[in-house]
Amino acid sequence: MVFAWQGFRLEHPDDWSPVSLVGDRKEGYVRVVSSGRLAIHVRWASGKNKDPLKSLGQYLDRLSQDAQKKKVDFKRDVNQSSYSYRGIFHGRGTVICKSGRIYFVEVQGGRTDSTLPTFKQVSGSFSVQDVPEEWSLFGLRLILPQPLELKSKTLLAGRTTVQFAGGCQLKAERWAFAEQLLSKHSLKDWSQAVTRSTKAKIEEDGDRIRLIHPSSLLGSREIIVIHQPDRNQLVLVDSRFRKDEWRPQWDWLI
Amino acid sequence: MGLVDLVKSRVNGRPPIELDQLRSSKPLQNPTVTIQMCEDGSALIEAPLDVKNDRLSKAIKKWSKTDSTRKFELEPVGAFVFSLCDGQHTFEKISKKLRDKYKMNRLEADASLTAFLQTLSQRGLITLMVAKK
Repeated sequence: MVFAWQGFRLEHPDDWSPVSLVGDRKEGYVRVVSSGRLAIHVRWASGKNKDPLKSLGQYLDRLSQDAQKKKVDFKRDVNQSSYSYRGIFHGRGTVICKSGRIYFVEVQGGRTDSTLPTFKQVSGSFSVQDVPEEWSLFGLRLILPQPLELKSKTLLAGRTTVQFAGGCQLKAERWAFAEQLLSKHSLKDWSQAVTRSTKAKIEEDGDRIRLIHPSSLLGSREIIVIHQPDRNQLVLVDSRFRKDEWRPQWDWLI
Repeated sequence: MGLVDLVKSRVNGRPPIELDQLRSSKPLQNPTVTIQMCEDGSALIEAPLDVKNDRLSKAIKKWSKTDSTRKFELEPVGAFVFSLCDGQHTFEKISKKLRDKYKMNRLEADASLTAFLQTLSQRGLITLMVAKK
């Protein structure tokens, strides 16, 4: 499964889920967990005036101190940009410098867990992207033509919402249980109700609907809604824009 | 345990369920509950009303002439989960079936299932069987 966030992308096993999403484009942290003890950690920071190996050394020193406090042996192995350690936890990671940012990509597990297979999958699929920019989590997959600033995220069971600002005000939302939702309402009725678009012009094409609001001095507002039966979900993109490049396109939704 | 939980547990006589306990449990329907499945997959559940076994409570119940049962309506997803509460399926197995049938991801399924089973348990519709340590 693909996870894409704040300009990077990686692939993780299907039943893993992101549980911690902190920070912004300059600096942040993401944790994607399995049902067991294994987890993927990605930390990133703006790379100006920073020595990645020095940062790695400081990070491993911190882990070593934690292990000492708990009277656990700590071993580290640093080989250029790759590293592994075994203390309270066992971790395997790599340091990547790209697009002005330093990334620490690490798979961590219990002291006796094997991290190598997952690490190979994660590090092999990890990439830093500029344009277009992909955002992907919990089945919501979106490709934006230009990077936007993430304003907010709401992660509920069955509903994922991300809101962006920048060139436009854009909201992308994924609703699970599409089959159950559409058994009671038509896609048109559901889309109009959820987006409060009763007065919008409707363009319907099978599993797709475009809702076009009348333009005003504040700009235009268009919403695209797609039913993805293979994933039992509904995805919508709601854009308020002035420039036509931010008119929502179907190929933004993967 | 917070103060509110503590008071609730004293009043209800049911201690709140720990998350670890819930996840290792096998939910079992209360045998006094009757289920009526509907065509659209939803279910109507009828459960006997909890009445304290003292004279005052019995007198109030007799005087008020209220129903002796509580009725619940479960939508199709809830009915599906409730049908799996047979004492055989573990939390993990129910979560897996939920993921397969409704194409949910693991975290979503686990979170929804946790909340739903806790509600069913608090209402006395299921018992969570936990293995002894």
